[in-house]
Amino acid sequence: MTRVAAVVLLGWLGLALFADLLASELPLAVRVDGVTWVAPALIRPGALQGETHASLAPRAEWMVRTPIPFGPLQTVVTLEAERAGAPPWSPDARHWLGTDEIGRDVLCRLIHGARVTLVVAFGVVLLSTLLGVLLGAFAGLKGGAIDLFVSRLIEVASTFPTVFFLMVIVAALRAPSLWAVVLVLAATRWIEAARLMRAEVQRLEGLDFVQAARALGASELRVLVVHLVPNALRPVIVSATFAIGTAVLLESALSFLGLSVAPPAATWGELLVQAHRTLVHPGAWWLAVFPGLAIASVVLATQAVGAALQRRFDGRA
Amino acid sequence: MRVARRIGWLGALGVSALVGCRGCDKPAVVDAGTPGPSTAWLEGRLPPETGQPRDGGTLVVRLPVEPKGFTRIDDTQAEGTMVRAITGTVYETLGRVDDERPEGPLRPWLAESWKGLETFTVTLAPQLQFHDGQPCTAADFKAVLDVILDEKNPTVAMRSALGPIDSVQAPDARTLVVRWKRYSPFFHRALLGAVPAMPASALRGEFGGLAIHRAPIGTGPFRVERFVPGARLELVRHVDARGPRAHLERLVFEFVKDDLVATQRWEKGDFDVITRIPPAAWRAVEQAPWAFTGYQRVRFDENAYAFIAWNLSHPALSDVRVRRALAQLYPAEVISRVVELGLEARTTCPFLRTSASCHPDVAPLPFDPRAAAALLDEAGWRDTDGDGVRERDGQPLVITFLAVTQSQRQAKLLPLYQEALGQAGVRLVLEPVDASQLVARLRTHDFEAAALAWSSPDAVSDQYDLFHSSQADGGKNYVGLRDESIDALVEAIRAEPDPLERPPLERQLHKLVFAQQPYLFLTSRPVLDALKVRVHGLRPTLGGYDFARAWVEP
Amino acid sequence: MGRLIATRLGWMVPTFLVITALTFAMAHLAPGDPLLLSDDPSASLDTVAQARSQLGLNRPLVERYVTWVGRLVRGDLGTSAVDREPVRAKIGAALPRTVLVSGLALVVSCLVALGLGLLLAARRDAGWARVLAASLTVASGVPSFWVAVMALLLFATPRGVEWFPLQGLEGPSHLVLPVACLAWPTVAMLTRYVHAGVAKALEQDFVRAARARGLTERRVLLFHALPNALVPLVTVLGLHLPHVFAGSVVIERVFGIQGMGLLAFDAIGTRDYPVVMGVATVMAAVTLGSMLLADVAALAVDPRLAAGVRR
Repeated sequence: MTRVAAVVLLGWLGLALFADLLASELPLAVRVDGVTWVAPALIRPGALQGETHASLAPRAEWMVRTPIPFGPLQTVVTLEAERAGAPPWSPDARHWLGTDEIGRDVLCRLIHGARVTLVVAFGVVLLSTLLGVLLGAFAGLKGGAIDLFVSRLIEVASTFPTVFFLMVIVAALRAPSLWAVVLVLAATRWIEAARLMRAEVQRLEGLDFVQAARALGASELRVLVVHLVPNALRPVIVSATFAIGTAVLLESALSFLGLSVAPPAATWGELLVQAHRTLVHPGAWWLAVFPGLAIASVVLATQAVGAALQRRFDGRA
Repeated sequence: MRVARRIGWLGALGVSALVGCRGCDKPAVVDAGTPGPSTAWLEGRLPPETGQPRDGGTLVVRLPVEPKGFTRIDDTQAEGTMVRAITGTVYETLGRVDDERPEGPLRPWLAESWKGLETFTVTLAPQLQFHDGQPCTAADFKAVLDVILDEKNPTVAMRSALGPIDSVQAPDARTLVVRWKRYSPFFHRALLGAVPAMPASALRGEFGGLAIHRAPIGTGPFRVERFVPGARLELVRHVDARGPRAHLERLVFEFVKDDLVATQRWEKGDFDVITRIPPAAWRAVEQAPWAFTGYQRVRFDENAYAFIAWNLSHPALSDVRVRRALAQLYPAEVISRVVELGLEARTTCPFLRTSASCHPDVAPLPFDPRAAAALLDEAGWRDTDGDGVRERDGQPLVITFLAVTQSQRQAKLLPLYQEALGQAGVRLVLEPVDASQLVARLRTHDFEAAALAWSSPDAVSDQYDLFHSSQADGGKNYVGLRDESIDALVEAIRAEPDPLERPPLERQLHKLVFAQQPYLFLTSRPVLDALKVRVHGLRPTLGGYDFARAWVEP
Repeated sequence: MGRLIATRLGWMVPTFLVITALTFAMAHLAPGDPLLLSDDPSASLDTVAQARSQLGLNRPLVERYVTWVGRLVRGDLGTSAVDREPVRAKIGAALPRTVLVSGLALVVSCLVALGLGLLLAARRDAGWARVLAASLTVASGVPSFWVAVMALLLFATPRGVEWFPLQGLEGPSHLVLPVACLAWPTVAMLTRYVHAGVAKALEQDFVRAARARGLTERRVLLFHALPNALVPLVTVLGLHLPHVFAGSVVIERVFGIQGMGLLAFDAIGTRDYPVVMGVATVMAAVTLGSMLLADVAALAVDPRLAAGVRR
C-alpha cells in the first residue's frame, strides 16, 4: 500500500514537473520553415508565438507531438475542426477527459493544475513546519513567560476560524499569487508542529541523556541542535506528512471559493467551480469527477505515507 | 494496495453511473405525437394579446438581485434595471416614456402639462395622493429636488442628470417652477422622467437613515405590504381617489440570486415571470415540452451595451492604432458562439442599437489578426527580443485587465480574448477584482482595461457624462477621453432643443466615438425572460415591464 | 469545577479580543469600500469622501475598534454598510440555518461514528470490518465539497436521479444532502477515535473483570468499554466543532444555503465590515464556547480528569 501511495505521489510530482512536455500547444520537437526546434514548449521561442499543433501540422517537415496536444490556456479560439455546439464537450478520442466551458482540455488542466496544488501543499507544509518547530522548540526549551506566551498564541491561533481568516486575508490581497497563498496558508498551519515540538522538547528535557550532555558542559545551542531537535522531530515529520493532505484539501477548497491563485491559471478547484456552474445545463460530469479523483488520490497517498512513517517511527521508539 | 484499489472502484462507480444516464448529450427529443415548439417560442416573441383583462390574482416575479434599498435617488442604491422593475410600480414620475415612441417626447403622467425652457413650469394633475393618504403636491416635488440637489447627499447621478438648477419653487399645490442656468432638453427629461414623487414628510432627517429607503411610499398603482429581507417583497394594489390603476391584486418579487436555484424553481413552476434566464438554460429548455407548453419566452433588446473600457493614459492604449488593433483581435464570432450562445447582437453604438441615433455606415471592426499585427507594427510595437511579446523602447505590450470575480460571463470571455491577444504578441494579464472594488478602481482611473456595461431605461440618453473631457475627473468618463471635437458635439447635442435635429448630431457622435475607440463596443445584451402562459398584458419595454397592465387567468 | 470554568472564562476575554482585533484590522485594511459599490456607478469622489466621514471610516483604526467593542458590550452589532439592515437581524436569519445543518451533521456523525466504531471494535477480525475501516480512511481523504458536487450531480440533476432538491433550504428534503456531505469527513474522523478508544478499553483490566463476572459481550461493550471511549470523543468533538462550522462555508456555497458561511463570504466580497465583524464575533464565541464545553463535558464524563485539566 505504501509503495502504491509513493508511486501515486511521485507520479503526480513527475506530471507536475514535466507538465510542459506532457501537455502543451507546442510539440516536443518540430522542423518548420527550415528550422528545427527542440522542446519549444519549454523555451517558448518568439518565432513560434501563436502556433499550435494544429497550425504547425500542415507546414512542418516533421513533428513530435506532446502526448496531450493541448496547452492549459488553449481555448476554442485556436482549436480547429471541433465539435458543433458550445463547450463543455464530453470526453472523446481527442479530449480524453473532456473540455471545460471554453474548450480547454481537462486532462491538460489537471496536469498543469497539479503544479499549483503540489507547490502550495509542499510549500505550506515546509514553511509552517519550520515556523512551528522553531516556536515550539523555543517555548519548550525556555519555559516560563515565553512558554506561556507561545501557549497562548497556539490557543488563539487554534481558536481562529481558519477559513474565515483566509477569506478575509485573500480579499485583502490584490491578486492572489501562488506565493501569497502559500504564505497565508502557512500562517495558519504551524500550530500542530509547534504543539508537538513543545511537548517533545519538554519530555526530552527531563531525560537522562540531555541532562548528561548539559552536565558535560554542552552549550544550549548544541543541546538543542544535536540532542533535542533530531529526537523531537520524528512526530513532527509524521504530522507534517499528514499536513500535506490537509493542505491539498484546503487549497482546493480555497480555489473552489475563488480565493486561490488567480485565473486563468489551471487549478483543480477551478475545474470544480465550473462543474458546479454547469451542474444542470448541461450537467458536465467530467468536470466534477476527474479533479475530485485527483485531489483524493494525492490526499490518500500522503495519508498512507504518513501512516507508514508513523509505524516505522513507533517501531523504533 | 487496498487504498489504491478503492480509488479505482470509486472512480469506476462515479463514471459508470454518470455515463449510463438518459438523454445526456442530446436535448430531450419531442415525441412525434406532440407538436414541437412554435417559432414565437424559439425567437422569444410574445404572441399578440387576446382576451379581456380581468382583475384580481397574484403575480410572482423572480428577480436576480435584492436591491439594497428602494430609493430611486440614492447613488448607493442606484437604479439598475432590476431595481427599476420594483420602484416603477411604487413610484411615479411627472411624465413617462411613450412605449409606442420611446425616442419621442415624454407623455404627461403625474403632470397635466408643462411649458418653458430655462424657466420650466409644470402643472400637476389634480387629486394626487400618496399611499399613506396624504395629498401629493408641488411642495413634495420641491422637497425631493432639494434632497437631490443637496451636495451632502449621495445623489450625484440624479444631480448631474438634472444639470445646473438655479432654483425650485412651488407657488401653489399644483405648480412647480424650476429655473435652470442653462437649457437642455435632457435636463427636462430627467426632471419629468426620473424624479419620483415622494412625500416631503418622509424626507426629513439624515438622508442615510431615512425609513423610506427600505419602506417606500409613493403614488404608484401598488403599495408595499411586506418586505422580507433576503427573500421577497410583497406589493398590493393601491386604490385611491384616482381609482384602481392595476389589474393584479398582489405582486410578489422573489429575490433569487443564484441562477441554479432560479432555474430549478422555474422548472418547478414557482414563478409567473422569470427574469434573466442564463443563456445556457435558455438554450437547454428550447425543446423541453414542459417549458414550451407552459411558458412564453421573451427576448428583447434593452438600451444596454457591453464594452471594454481602455484607460487612455496607458502608454500603449493612448494610441488609437493600438486600440483599433485590439478591436481587430477580439474573436467576436467564437465568443458569440461559446459565451453568448448566439443570443446577443453586436453593437458599435453608445445609443439604442436600433434607433436613428446610430450611424448606419459604422460596422464593427472585423476579427483580423493580420491587419491588427500591421497596425501594431506601425505604432512601433514589435517583438524585437523574440520572447513572443511585442515591445517599444524596451517596454513590453502588457495590459492588465480587471476581471470581476463574480462575473461568470467574464470568466468565460476573458481567457478567450486573452488567447487571441497572446497570439498577436499582446499580453493580457487578468487581475481578479471583487465587484465592490471595480467601481473604486475605475473612478480613480486605477485600471488599464475593464469590461463594463451601461444601461438606460430611456431611448434618449445624454452622452455628456461618458465622453465629455470635463467628466474625466470624478465623472463617468473613466477612460479619460479628451477630444475637442467630441466635446463640442456632446455640448451641441445637449443644447439642441429640437428632438428631430438631435439624431443627425448623435449619428455624427457615434461615428466620432467609434473612430476614437475609447471603448471596444461588444454587444447589446437582450432581456431573456419567460412568462407563464396564464400571464397577459405584460409587454417588454426599455423601462422594464409595466406591471400595472398585467393580468392573470385564474 | 466552578473554578476551572471561571479561569477558562477569564482567559477567553483576551483571546476573544485578540481574534476580533485581528479580524477587524484585516477587514479594514482590505482595499475597496462599501460606498463605492453599486451596479450603476455614479457617485463622485467627493460624495464618497463625505459619506466615508459620516460612517466614521476615516478615523484611526484603533479608535474604530474601541468604538466597536464598546457597542458590542451593549449588545449592538451595528447596521450593514450595504443595505442598512441591522447586523443582528442578518445573523439572526443566517445562524439558525447554519446551526441546523451543522448541528444535525454533528449529531448524525456522532451517532454513525459510535455505531461504526463499536462495530469495528467488536468485530475487528471480520473481513468486512477491514473493508469498512479502509473505506473510512478513503472517505477522510475525499474533499467534502467534491462529495457535495457529486451528490448534487447524482441525486439532484437529470444526469442521475432527481430525488433531492438542488439548492436552498426550505424543507426536510433540502437537508439530506448538505447534512450528509458535512457529516462525511467528521464520521471518518470520529469513528477512528471511537474504535481506538473502545479497542483500548477492551484490553484493560476492568473489562476483563467484567467479562470474568460472566456479563454478556454486549453489556461489556456498551456499559464498560464505551464510556471509556467517550472521553476522548467529547474532547475531539469540542475541538472539531469550529471546523464543522468553517466547513459549512463551502457546503453552504455548493447547496446555496443562506447561512453564516455565505453571509460571511458575501459580506467580505462587498466589504460590509459591520457584517464581517458580526460573523467573526459569533464564530469566535462559538469556538471558545465549544472549547469550554468540551472541557466541562470531558470532566462530566470522567471526573478523574479534573486534576489534569487544571494546569
